[in-house]
Amino acid sequence: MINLMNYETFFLLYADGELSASEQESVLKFVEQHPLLEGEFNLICRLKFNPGKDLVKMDKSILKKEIAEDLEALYAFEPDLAITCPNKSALYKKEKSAIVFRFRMFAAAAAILFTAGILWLVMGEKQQESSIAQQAIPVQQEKQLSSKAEGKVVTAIESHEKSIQNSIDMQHAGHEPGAEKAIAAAVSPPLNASILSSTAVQLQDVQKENSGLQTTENSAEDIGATDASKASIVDASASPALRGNLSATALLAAAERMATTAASIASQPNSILLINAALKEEKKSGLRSILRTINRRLLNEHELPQDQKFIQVANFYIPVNK
Amino acid sequence: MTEREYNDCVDAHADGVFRFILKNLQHTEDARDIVQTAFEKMWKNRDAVVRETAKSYLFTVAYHQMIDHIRKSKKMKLTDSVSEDSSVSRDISPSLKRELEMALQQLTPLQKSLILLKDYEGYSYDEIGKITALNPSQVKVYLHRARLQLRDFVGKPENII
Repeated sequence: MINLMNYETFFLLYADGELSASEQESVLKFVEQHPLLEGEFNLICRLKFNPGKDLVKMDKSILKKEIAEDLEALYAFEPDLAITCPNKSALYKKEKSAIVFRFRMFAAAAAILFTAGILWLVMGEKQQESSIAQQAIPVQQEKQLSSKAEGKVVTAIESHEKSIQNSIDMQHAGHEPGAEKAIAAAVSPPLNASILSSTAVQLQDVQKENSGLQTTENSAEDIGATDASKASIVDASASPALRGNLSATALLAAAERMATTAASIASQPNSILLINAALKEEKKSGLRSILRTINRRLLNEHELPQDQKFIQVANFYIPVNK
Repeated sequence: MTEREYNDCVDAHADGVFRFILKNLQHTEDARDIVQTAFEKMWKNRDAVVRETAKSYLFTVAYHQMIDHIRKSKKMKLTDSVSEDSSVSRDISPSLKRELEMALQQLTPLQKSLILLKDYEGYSYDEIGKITALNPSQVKVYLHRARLQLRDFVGKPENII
């Protein structure tokens, strides 16, 4: 707000043009209210330098820079169109080479894709074969076990026959005092029957598994029969005539071994389920079966009958009953 | 800044810078040299200067070149007051303009620059402060002092028609 203490500042600000419109009006009103200050206000406003008439100009040519674009426009060269390239036709490129190059590219891509597809199919067959081979191991093991069981039966029978024969020879020779008892013990119905029956039952169970029947009940019966045979063996071994060189503990251990063998066969995964899984796998890979058929025909292999299912193990085809 | 833009700046601001320096130094050749130096410096720094700020850049460079020139040559007496010549100034002059010209020469280079930048080029306190490396309050105070000195030198108001 302008007053007598600061009017000079406001006059100078007014002269410099630093006041707003409302402030300029207030200054003018103040001057009207104080006529004695009007002369000073006018002098301050006139103490301004106006270039106006003494406008001085400078030679600007020494300050300016040459513009490159202007120089290019002033000193540009125009091309002489009369000059042409001789034998221009020799520079042309033939389109055939481009086509050949493209054909080669496509051929290479097709060969790569074909090779990758063959490899994929081969790898898939190998994986299937390995899975089937793993599934066929229990079958082989079962065969081995069954052959072992058969061998045991044979050796048991042979041993009994030998003991009988020895006893008979001894009786004829008259050297063994207890030969009669030994013969009787060797042909004692309970022991012979129990041993033969247990091993025979085991053999039957293995055969039944191979044919694809459920054997859990039979294996349970085997265990029961084995226990019975164990008991009978222990009982028989209690008689001093039959003990001979075998102790009750040894006989019991032998009986336990035979029983665990039967139990292990029964406790292994059912091969029927494995075979069924393989058959399902066969059904899924229809393309692979087609390719396998083609492969067999090309190699003049004997075709397998279509009405029967086979499991391939290495180069062997095992028929599977449905 | 391209060459074309630089030449446009020459056309737009060369006269103003020259006039400002000439009024301060009162010497044409010295003013021309200072103006040329200012434009050369702007050309060297054309990558950092844009067209919109070229005017303030030129005046800033020219002002500092002028101060350096004055300090080197000592052509002008740096006086804070005009009491010595006040008696001469109190004589009645035929024209206010001549009085003002004479009064202007009695001011310090800073005060003179402030007066000319304000009256000739119409710069604000802020813009003058950027050119002269002062804050706006200082510009206001120094400028007011310069005008009061001009008033005192010219004479009493009743002597001015």
